[in-house]
Amino acid sequence: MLKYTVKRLLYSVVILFFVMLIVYSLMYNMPGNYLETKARELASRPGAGKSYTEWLNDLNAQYGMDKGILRGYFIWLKTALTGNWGDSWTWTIPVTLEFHNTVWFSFILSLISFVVEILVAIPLGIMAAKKQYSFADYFTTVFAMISISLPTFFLATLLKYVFSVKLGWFDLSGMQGRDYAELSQWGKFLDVAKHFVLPGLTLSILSIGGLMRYTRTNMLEVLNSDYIRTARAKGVPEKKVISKHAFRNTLIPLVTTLGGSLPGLFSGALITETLFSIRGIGFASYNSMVQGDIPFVMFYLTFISILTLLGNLISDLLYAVVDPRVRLS
Amino acid sequence: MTASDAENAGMTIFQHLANITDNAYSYGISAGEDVKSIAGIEKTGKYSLTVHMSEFDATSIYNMSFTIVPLHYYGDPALFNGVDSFGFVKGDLSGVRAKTTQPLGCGPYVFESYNNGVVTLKANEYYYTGKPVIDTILFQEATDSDYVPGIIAGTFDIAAPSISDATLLAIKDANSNKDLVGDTLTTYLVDYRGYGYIGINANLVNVGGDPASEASKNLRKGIMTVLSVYRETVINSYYGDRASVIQYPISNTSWAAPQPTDVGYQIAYSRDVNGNPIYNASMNDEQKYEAALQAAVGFFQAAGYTWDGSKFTAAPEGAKMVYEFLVPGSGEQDHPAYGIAVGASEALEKIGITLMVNDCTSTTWNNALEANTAELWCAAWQSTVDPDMYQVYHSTNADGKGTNSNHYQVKDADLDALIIAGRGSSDTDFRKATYKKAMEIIMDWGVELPTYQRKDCYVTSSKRIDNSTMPKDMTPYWGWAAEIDTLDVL
Repeated sequence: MLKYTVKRLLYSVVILFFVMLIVYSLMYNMPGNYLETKARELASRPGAGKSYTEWLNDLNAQYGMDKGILRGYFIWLKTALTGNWGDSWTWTIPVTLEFHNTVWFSFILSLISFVVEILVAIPLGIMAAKKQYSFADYFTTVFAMISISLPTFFLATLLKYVFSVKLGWFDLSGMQGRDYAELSQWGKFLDVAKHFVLPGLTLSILSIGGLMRYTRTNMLEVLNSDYIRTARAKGVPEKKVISKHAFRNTLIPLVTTLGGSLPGLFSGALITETLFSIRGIGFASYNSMVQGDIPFVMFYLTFISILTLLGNLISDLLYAVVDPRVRLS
Repeated sequence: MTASDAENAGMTIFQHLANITDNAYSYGISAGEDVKSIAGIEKTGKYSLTVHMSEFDATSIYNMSFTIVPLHYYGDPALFNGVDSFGFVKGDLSGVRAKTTQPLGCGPYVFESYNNGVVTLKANEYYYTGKPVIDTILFQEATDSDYVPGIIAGTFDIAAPSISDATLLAIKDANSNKDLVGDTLTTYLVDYRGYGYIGINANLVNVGGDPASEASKNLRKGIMTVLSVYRETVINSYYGDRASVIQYPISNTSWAAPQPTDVGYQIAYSRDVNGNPIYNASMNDEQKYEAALQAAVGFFQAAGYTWDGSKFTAAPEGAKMVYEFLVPGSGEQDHPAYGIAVGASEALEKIGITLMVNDCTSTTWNNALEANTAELWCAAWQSTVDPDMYQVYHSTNADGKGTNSNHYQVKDADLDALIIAGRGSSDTDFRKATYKKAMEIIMDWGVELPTYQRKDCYVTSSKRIDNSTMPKDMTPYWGWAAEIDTLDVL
């Protein structure tokens, strides 16, 4: 397994190099990039003094964008390898600082919905599989379909309308209330937590359906296996058949799927964060991308690429761990 | 040099790599001469200075509205001698950069923190008019669609939503009197300080390669006459009472804007080639469209187009039968000028002239405008306090020269003289009259059709804000925050 892991890590480095080269090329050639927009603003200001083309040439030189794609990429790579990721053009602070300011909000939100998703979806999926074709099965299946099909913006807006506008239980958006500064430390924590309820609920509802259906499908497959039939024939109590034999085998694909989704905890939820004004990494990265903020986008996508590659590796390794039949070679 | 040096041109692979990754500027930034001080800026006291001008310039006062910040915070008083050192090591802004997240000015509120998407400002007890009434102000980030519901729900107290029919309806629904000002929300509608327009590039739309000839002007005025007649219908249907059609290439919010009560005030492109009015008060919309089209026929004939009795069949040399109109609507056909362009296109088609309406991306539109390859386009200007027209209409900024902001390519000696005269006097009556003449030249060139002036909207909570302390007479240059130090809550 060690040899396999090392080989995968080396492949990952090569993949990462080319992935980031593609990203840099795309950002470099993006129409209406940050510098073009800035040049246009500066040229159209009263008393500008210089044309758009002159401003663009100056800005390209100042921001190091006058060296072409390949040279620009290697310059970025050289500074990135030394730990210097540069300043974000959009946020005007170091890229790592903006990342640190935003990623933890997304992580907490994603973690909450991840935990809720597991606690609700897996038991529901198992119950639906146990009582296949019953009312409970149909009810949970319909609920799962609705949750998979609902657009994020629709659900978020609906929750805001019901719980904020009509009932007044929560603020409409934001991460803190108007009296936040007067609260104690514990009060501040609770205030922020309260503002995470609706976005957390949104993400949880949307993700429960998929995992529930996946659990149900795998559980049904396992329940129809020969060894389960044998256990029942031997007189093993049904509870033990489910919890000891069926559930453990159902967990195999679930663990690998969930392990592979760990990087998603850091990727943020753009729509939810925007609608609830949560200053998370999804919101920050989207705004950086549309404004062509190359330093921030390069850092963020490097981070996500590393997490994705690691996630795939973890997923493959976990499969070998939980299923003794699988050997990595 | 050894043989191996000759082979690698004298550099090792590592030196090559170092060269490739060297981040030194490859384009020198030209910043003019390096000066130690500017004689015309004279410090006269601890809190005063005098700026000496070499000549009168009416626009210069508006360049003086810069931010005042404390030297002791952003610089070093020990480095200030008033002669050739002004608190900084020249070229080194690292100290300023370090303070990016902790700004300090001299306004009514002091920046305290930016956390959780909220900027917290505390009243500045040292403010020159006295400590502001409200002790703490929070500026919170939110999406536009949340502004009005947020005020209703109590999350926000003041907001500036994008004005739309849905917004106005939501405001009216929230108030028990179903009006924009009521027991829940108070709405302020203020003119926006810019205006929308349609432009024509005179270098590309002309006869015989001479943009200034009468024939060229008639060609452009023919197109503009047809475009002009569709403004009222389209703008009313797109904006309702949130915008109004304007007649001169200047924002209605400017003190120099001609008013309907002024002598000689005209509807844009409302006269035919002989100078006679095209419309009368008894005409309905359809009659106006037909009248405009007939007037356009006259203009095109005067430009030299061949008329067979029902259609134009040939263009004079240098002119075309097909012109392209760029609308930066990204293909969604949701731009206020799109309807005007389509209406005019269908009308011109009847007389054999093709106006191709291209609903393109803003990047395509921007690139065409900067390269001066757009024949017709629509855009909006954001006007400044001063009505100076130099940047946009003076010939030094045409043909890609200067600031390249004269996209109309107007090169008129009389217009240039009026623009220079206008910025050389402080007499507002003289300047207003001068700019009116300048605008008449621009309209005579047929290069700009002003389309609309829209409004901005501010909404406050009637339950939490003391609206009697909001500015009484808001303008585009004097918004709700201009009197934030005297604003009070209930």
